Parts: sequence; structure tokens; C-alpha cells
Amino acid sequence: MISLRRVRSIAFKEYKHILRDPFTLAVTLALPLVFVAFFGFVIDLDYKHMKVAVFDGDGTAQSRKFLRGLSSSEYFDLRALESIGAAQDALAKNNSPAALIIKKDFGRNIARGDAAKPARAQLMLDGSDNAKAGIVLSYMTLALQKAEAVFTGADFSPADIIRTRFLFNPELNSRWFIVPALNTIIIGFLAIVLTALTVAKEWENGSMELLLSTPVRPAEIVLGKLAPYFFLTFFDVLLVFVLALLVFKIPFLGSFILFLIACGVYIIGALALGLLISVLARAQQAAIQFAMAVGLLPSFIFSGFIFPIENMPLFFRWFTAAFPQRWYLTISRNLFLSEAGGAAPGGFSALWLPFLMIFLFAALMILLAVQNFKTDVEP
Amino acid sequence: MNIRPRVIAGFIIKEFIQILRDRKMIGAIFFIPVIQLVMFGFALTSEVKNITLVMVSPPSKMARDIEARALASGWFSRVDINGAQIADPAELLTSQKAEAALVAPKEGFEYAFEHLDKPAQLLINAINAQRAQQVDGYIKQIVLQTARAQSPQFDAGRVGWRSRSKMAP
Repeated sequence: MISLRRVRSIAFKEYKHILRDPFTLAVTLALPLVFVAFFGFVIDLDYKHMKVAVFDGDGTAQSRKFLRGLSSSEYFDLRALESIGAAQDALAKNNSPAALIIKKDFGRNIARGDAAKPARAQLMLDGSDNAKAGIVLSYMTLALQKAEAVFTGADFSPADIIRTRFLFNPELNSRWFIVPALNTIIIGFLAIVLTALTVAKEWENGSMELLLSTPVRPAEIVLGKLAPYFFLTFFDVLLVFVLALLVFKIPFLGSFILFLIACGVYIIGALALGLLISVLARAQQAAIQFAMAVGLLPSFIFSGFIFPIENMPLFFRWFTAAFPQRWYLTISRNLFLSEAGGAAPGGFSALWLPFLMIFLFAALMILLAVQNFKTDVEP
Repeated sequence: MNIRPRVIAGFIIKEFIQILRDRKMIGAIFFIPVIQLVMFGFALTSEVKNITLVMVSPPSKMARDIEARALASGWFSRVDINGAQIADPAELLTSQKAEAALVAPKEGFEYAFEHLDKPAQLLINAINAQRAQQVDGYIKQIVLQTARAQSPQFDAGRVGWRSRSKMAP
């Protein structure tokens, strides 16, 4: 029978350890703030106000009107240059992802309206960032079609046959995509890496054996040791949640209860994984390497945090399914932005699989951690 | 300071022998770059692919043409959903059965293209804003190409447009 009093005592001891260890304390308290500051403010993934180097070789009312139309869009910031060479230079020196060259007689050919002699413009794109190049090309083409409608006096442009509605993130703010996903990284670091490291330290120092020789049972030691990390990680997750709402004004449309359940289950699974790593590695150096490889790295590259899973080939999409980070991140983003789990039609149908996967992960990790810990301490 | 090339050469040979004897090191030198090449070459890409688009419209030639062009472009994946029977297109996105839904007015895409007073509506899951912008651009290009192929009023106009992609054409 597990004694709550003994678990509480171990937890209190661990809590004092954390308070005395400036590294653990600093990491725990500063990590969410550093991540939020870095990913929320420093990294900007928005494709708006993209610089376009422009050489207007025509200089007529029509060409200026065309350029005014472009600069009025929030997508482009035009930078006028004196020659074709300067526009090409801007592209070559990475000062601009695109260079637009308006050829001579642009205005005259438009006024003439002869389809055989169209006005000429050239757009050069920096293809090394294919995502940005694709977006510049798409929006330039649409802007061009709008401009054509103005020149021809038509009361519509071909671009008007479709109206786009961006659901879940209507302002196309990339911070809405990044900040709700930060919890995945924070849990990966605190619950997996830090737990593996601190518990491995106990093994390395021999203090774990000392603890095991006391009347406290192994299960009580495990629960007591992990409890403070559970609460600290949960505190950090809630801190990011509050910052997302108050600082970044990200809406939270889903069910808060489901969010708490998802965080609780995933943190428990991650703590069990951290414990398992510490039992298997026994030494701090090996534990941190292992924890980084299975805890932190997948949080960045296999979760969809930066690289969307949808862009991956079929094999890798299945491969990422093995990482709980992917499923927790899906839950977090959807609960924030898409009314998933709420009253919206089709709400929970997108979330049942991610929830099932994190429950399975937590159950499997607890089973493996307990089994390995027991095997380790029993003669 | 006197540098002795023979001593340096001796050290270089010793280091090489040490590396070749250490299996972990050999693994790190040859295996890790291969893994990274595979990962970043195939899996971790910002190129938008596997877009799931549902055409929410009564069955029509225009709807089929747009869908066929989309699939032929290589950016889209087939979705087995009958768009003609969808009552609430937004639900397709909330339940993540599709990433985008192109919704024709009641009269169909042909009407939307000919009259323009009732435009088609494109719904896109924009949780990933970057991807949503790209999806928007791709679908609009495909729809306009289809419209141009079917209707003279969308024919290339007075401005000739030539785009060239440098560095990675």
C-alpha cells in the first residue's frame, strides 16, 4: 500500500533539492519566458511586407499606377531602384526576395490595348526560399490581374471569382501557429530531459540506493521524486497559456478541461519517459544525450512545430505518428484555434486520435518505467 | 616556435588510426550525415504538398476540371469525399477531413465564372498561416488556369508577365 505521507516527504525533499539547485530553478522558471520571447517576438514567419526591388523602366502614369496598386497591398514593400542591374544586385545580395522590372513602353502598350503587343514586366524570384518565392509569385499574379481589370476598365478582375476565407487564423498571424505549440518543447525539456538528468544524478551519486534502503517503497520514491517536476512543468505550461492569451492575444476556442487533461496525461507520460531514461542510462552524461535524442529533438522536428507533417512523404507521416509530441501539439493547436473539443460541428472528431495516442504513450511509459525500475532495485 | 611537419604528420596518422578503430566515430562520421540528408532532403521541407481539397459543388465539368488540374499539379492529395453532399463545408475543416474546400454557389462554378456576382468561396484551414497562404495561391492559380482554358473573357490580358526563379528554379 502506498503511503501518501511518505510520498509527500520524498516530494518535499525533492522540492528542497530544486530550490537549492540554482541551475534547475533557473531553467524551470526562465525556460518558458525565453522560449516565448524567442519564438514569439524574435522569429517572424509571417509573409507580409516582403521587400521587392523595383526598376520602373517606363516611368509613365500606367506603370506608377500599377506599382501603387502593388504597394497598397500589405504583402509587398516596394523599393525603387535606378537600374536593372541594381534590381538584380538586390536579389543576388539577398536584400530582397524578388525583383520586378517594368519594361519600356509598358504604359503605351497598355493604352494601345493590342493583345499582340502586351505591356511587359519581369519578375525575378529568389528560389532558394521556395515557400516565399511561391507566395510572392501567387500574390504578384493576383495583383497583376487586379491591375489589368483597372487598365481595361472592367468591373471585375479574374481574381474576383474566388473569395478566400481563412478559418481558425483569419489574420494569418504565424505567432498563433507557434506559441500554442511551445508547450510541446517545454514539456520535452522539463519533463523528459531535466527529469532524466536529475534522477540519473541520484543514481550516479549513489543517493538513490540510500533512499531505497530506507523503509520508503520504490513506488513512493518514484511518485515523490516526480511530483515536484509534474507541478513545475504544469506551472510552466499554464504560464505559456496565460502569455499566449494576454500578450499575443491568441484566442482559446476549445475546451479548457480537455486542455488540462491533455497536458496532465502528456506530462505524466513524459515524466515516466524521463525516469525510464535515467534508469537505463544511470549516468548523467548518457541520460542527457538519450533524453535529447528521444525527448527534445522530436519535439522540434517530428511534431510539426516548424516543419508541417502534411508536407512530408507518406513514410515520414507514419513515422512521426510514433512520437507523442506530434499528437500533443495537434491537440494544443486545435484547442487554441479551431473550436475542436468545443460545441462546433465535427469538433472532437479531429481530436479523438491524438488523445488516444497520448493516453497510450503515457500508459506504455509508466509500464516500462515501473518494470525497469523494479527490475533494477529488486535482487 | 619551431613547427615540425613530421611530428604533425605523425599526429594526423595517429588520429586517423584512432578514428578508424572507433566504431562509434565511424558511425557518427558516415551514418549521421546520411540520416540528415534523408531527413532534410525528403521529410523536413517547407514545400507545400499533400493538400487535401474538397470541391463542394453540384457535379459539373468545371468542378471535375479544377480537381483534375489540382491532382495533376502534384501539390494535392485525393480525398474520398463527395463534395455534392456536403451541407456544412466548414465542418470538413474543423474535423480535419480536408484542408481546403472550394465552395461553388448554388448555381455551380460555371455560373460563378460567367457572372461574377456570386463568387466561389475558398475555405482554408489557416492554423499554419504560411501554408494557408501558399494553398490559397496554388488553388487560385489552378482555378484561373481552368477558367482561362474554358472562357475567353479570362484570356491573357494587356500585361505580359514573365517570372524567373533564380538560385533554385
